[in-house]
Amino acid sequence: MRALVESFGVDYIQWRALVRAYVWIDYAALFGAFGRVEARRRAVQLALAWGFLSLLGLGLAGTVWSARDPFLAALLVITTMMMWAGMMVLTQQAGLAAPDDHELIGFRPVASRTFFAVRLTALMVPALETIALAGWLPVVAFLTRADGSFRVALAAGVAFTASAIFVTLAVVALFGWLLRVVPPARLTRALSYAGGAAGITLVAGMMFGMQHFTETDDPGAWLTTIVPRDWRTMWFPPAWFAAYIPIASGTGRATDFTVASLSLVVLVAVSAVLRGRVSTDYVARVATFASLSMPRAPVGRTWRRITDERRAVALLVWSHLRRDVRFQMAIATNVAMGVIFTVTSSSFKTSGADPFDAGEAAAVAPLFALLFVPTQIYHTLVGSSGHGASWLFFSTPTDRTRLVVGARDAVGVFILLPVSLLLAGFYMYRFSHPVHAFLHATFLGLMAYASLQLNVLLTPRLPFSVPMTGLHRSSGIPIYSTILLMLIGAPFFVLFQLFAYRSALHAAIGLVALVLVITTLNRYTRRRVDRRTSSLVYIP
Amino acid sequence: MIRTERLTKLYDRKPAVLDLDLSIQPGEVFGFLGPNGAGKSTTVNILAGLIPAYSGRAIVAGYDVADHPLEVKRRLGFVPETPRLYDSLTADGFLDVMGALYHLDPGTSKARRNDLIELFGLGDVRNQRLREFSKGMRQKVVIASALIHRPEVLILDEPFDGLDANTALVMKGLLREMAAQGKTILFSSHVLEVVERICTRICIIDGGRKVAEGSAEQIRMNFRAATLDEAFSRLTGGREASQVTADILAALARS
Repeated sequence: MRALVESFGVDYIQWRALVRAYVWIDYAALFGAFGRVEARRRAVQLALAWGFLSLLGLGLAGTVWSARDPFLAALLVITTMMMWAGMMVLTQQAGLAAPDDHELIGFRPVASRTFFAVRLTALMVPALETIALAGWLPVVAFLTRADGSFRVALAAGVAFTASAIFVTLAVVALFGWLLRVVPPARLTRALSYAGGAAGITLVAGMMFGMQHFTETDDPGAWLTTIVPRDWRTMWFPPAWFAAYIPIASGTGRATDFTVASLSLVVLVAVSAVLRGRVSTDYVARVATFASLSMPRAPVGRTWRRITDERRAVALLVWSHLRRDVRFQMAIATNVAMGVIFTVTSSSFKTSGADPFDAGEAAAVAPLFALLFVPTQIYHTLVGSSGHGASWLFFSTPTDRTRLVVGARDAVGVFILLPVSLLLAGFYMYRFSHPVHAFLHATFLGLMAYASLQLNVLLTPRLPFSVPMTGLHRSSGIPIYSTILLMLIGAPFFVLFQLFAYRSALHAAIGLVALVLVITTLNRYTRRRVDRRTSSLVYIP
Repeated sequence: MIRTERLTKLYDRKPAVLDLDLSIQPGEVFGFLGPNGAGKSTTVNILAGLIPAYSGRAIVAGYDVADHPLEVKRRLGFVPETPRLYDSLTADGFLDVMGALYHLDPGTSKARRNDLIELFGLGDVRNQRLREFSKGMRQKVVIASALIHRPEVLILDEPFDGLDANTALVMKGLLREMAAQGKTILFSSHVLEVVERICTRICIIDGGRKVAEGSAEQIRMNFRAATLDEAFSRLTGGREASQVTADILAALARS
């Protein structure tokens, strides 16, 4: 390990010390650093996250067991894995341009390349962790297939790991390059746009793939048409790693060897890029970025009619939406992904189709977006690198319930409402039935709000009050919340959708019922938040 | 030694530090004074290699900070104004990590952190998480981390912030002794009486520019002030304290 690290010009002792510290910081809560209650909570979260990822892995393992061609099975699994790893790295890329530890490490004798390597490792660990948890079952599947063997399973494990490493290195190289070439004043915006665009591309690609996959009677045949097993495979990065499988099973063709060797070439090439000025100039660029002055903020909104804590929260959320590029992009990316999921539906046949005509398939599809997007937005709102400022909520005579509920409503007004209007416009164009379009968009908007309500109900938190520390920043809590929402919210949403899209009359009844549910949830939320917020503590 | 030559830093085209010339010799405890926003922290952050200068040179321990940042950082002990710590680590664990960053061998690192932890009165809490530490205890850890590698040059930005009277007394003595051993010490603070007591020379900056330099006595005499406070107030355009107090009270009574 030491030789490998030092071969990249990295100071092994410093790298090891910092990585150990970060890994420990990441797991400190689990081992009781913040008390037994927090340790138990983290353990439950971790177990659920592990369960969730293993469940996803089980789905992929099913593909491996049932596919005729192990190469195509590996291709599918690796494509998915690379997307997950890419998303994991993208959600944490802010740590590259504005590392929290620069103030602490910046004046110590840590060379730029070492500091860069530490940041890279911090991004790679969660990506590899995700792949390990989601990938162990597919590896077992490669071992236990009729034509499986230990060698093939080992090759699958290596392929999964190498593909995750490649994705991480590629994303880091992209952002490291941007850090070098974009003027510091535009850097935050450029990085955020790049992150958003990459995220949206990944999700859109995944949706596109899923649609094709589910539409085809023979997925293997479809894969062969888009990824023919000849030299054209070279253009599809997952194939570089999937080619390890036929080679390990002894059925490799010349194309497989060529394509597999490409994976080594790109890994070496990306490593060489990272070893160059991207890493040697890194600290200087981070220092320049850190000392950048912020442009003067324009005068904020007055909103004279909104008073008390709701005003404070509305101003806070609004100012973040206006001026905090990271917050903006986190929200924009989530909203864009949600809109893509919502309008593309689960299959091409029903994509953007009027659910009143196309049936439940078109209506049930947005479920994932409804559960996942408000959860992500809520956690973006709650977690903040400036969480220390939340001492104000604890040291002033504020009604914390109003703060929590006010934050939820601010998200509803500033984000969910405009998105619903946008969807209404899209459906008006698409359905050529204005009433259906209005009802469908209203339904989606209200259900997204109900999902947000459920999030607040399950884990009430003050806005911008939870630290985003360690390597995992955003992975744990949303998965935990998503699982709870799936258990609690999914049946509710499905029932509503199955009932409401039978006719316009059913929809009208459904809407009234939904409003009643939201009102009831609102009351219950206030009561529960009242009880729970007294136990919230300031996290310095 | 520490030297700056026409050091300049601009924020949004406004100078935070402008053409600043400083020269601090080994054995000196150099006081760096200025009102809020005068450019003190910007200067020390440039000297510590945390942020780049816009123009000019900063030389620490004989090395240009821009050209040889690692050589500077190996010889520098720095206490930032608002220090950050890894809150999940223990005091001992944190100093262990810091020791590794300076390439101290494990035995030396352990011996030094044992000494520092005991000397700063943190022995009983050495295995407690830093997040449970009070402000003063955290400041002790920060100071210990600035001393663990035996630096030639010390740059301290408000180092007494949060320290109890006894520790502050120990620190004052420590700084004098370290200077006597030939270390170069830059001491940035708002607390004039502390600066006056321990610093051999003082520089006052305002609006990023140097407005006075010399011993406390020389500054007082040059500006015909009875105290350093008075000289500081005149130099930095401060209004009469009693008048400001009266104005604030009047404003509070109005609204």
